[in-house]
Amino acid sequence: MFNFFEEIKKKAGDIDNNLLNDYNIINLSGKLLYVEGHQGVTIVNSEMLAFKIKRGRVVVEGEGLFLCELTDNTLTVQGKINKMEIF
Amino acid sequence: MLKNRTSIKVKGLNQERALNNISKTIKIYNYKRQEHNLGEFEVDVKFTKKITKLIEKEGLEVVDIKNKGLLYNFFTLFKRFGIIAGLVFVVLFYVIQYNFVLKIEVWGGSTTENAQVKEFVQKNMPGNFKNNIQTEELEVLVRNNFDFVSSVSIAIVGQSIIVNLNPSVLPDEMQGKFQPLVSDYDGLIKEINLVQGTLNCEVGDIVQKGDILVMPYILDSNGTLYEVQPSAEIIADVWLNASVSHYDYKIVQYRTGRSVTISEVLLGDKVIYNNTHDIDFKDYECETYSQNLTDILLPFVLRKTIYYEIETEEIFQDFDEVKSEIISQAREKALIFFDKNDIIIDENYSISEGAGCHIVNYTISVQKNIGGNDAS
Repeated sequence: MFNFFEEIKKKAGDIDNNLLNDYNIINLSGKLLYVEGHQGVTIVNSEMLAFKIKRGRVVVEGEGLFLCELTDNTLTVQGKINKMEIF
Repeated sequence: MLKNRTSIKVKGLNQERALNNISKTIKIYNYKRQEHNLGEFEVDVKFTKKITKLIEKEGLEVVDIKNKGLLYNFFTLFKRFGIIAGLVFVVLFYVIQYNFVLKIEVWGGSTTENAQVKEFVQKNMPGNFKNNIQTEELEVLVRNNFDFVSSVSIAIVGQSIIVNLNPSVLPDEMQGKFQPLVSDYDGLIKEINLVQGTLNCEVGDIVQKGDILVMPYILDSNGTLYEVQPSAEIIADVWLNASVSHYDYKIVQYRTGRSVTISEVLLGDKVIYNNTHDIDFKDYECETYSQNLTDILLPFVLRKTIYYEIETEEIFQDFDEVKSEIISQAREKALIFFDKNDIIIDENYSISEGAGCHIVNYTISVQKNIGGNDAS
């Protein structure tokens, strides 16, 4: 079956594939953010959403943000996404 | 809207931690933080019971919980007793009233007859309850009480009683309707065999179309008049005439086969649409016809005008060249009135000549029964 992330990884150059397995984040036009491999949300409000990832944290800032979907290891954020930082 | 979900409003601190724990077993949708300690999210309806327990376990307070979705709303209808009571009432009403006859329809007779029978059936019905109505008895009653009914069938269809009448057909003699025997041709009477009625003509008389041949009555020796159906075999010599004209010079116009159609869509008198074409015919004639496209909302009319190209030709033809053909045409024309039982006695023609015109008159003398009754 076609796996979007695996296909992208195949296109990468000289890199250890194990280093690419921590998490995946896709930002769709600044309106929808899809995350795989999160390790729990830490802040959720309409202007900021933060979640843990392996070896760090991600902070998403924007307007009208809400958690569109949340499962054990995936989440989808909807709203106007202005900034995303990884710490 | 279509998905069936439970919306839960929760109150409490550290809701993120609770969300993380709950999301390990139940998928969470549309979490929105309304205030610092107030949030709302959705889960699938099937997890409603489970989620409340989990929320309480996480130390949050459920402020509000409600279900939504198409299927949920549909099933909610069945919890509304007013609607259920209404439905039950409608069904009961329908079932009860279905046992009663509401309408009587009479078919087969004239309007007056139908009205009479309808009134009679209505009066003689034991009631409107279907089970009490005996259609066989009603059929007998109708047949016995109305002379104009030869047979009748009565059936209960739905909530109607259908009365189907077969009107009795009386012969003319019983109805007293007699018409005199009238000649349909001009001719000379040669032979008469009277069957019934009183003669109004004699052998040797010349009769015209429309003349009375036999009167519809007889008189006995006392002078009493009895109406009868007139009948007679009256043999007459009848002349079948026809004429054909021939012009030595004539102008003939005919269509070449080329045509142009112009269509217009009209709303009232105003042209809404048209497909105009140039008419490049030297001579033409046109035909127009209109058709209503729709008269439901607006009276749109489609008008088509067809222009046919025509050509004019001058024809010079001497009568002598086509004389036999013209005579033959005149004969065929005269034979249109010939019946298969007629006997041809004689036939002749005459030709009259005018300025560039010849008229052929063809006469066929036949022996014909103009009485309309074959006495033999």
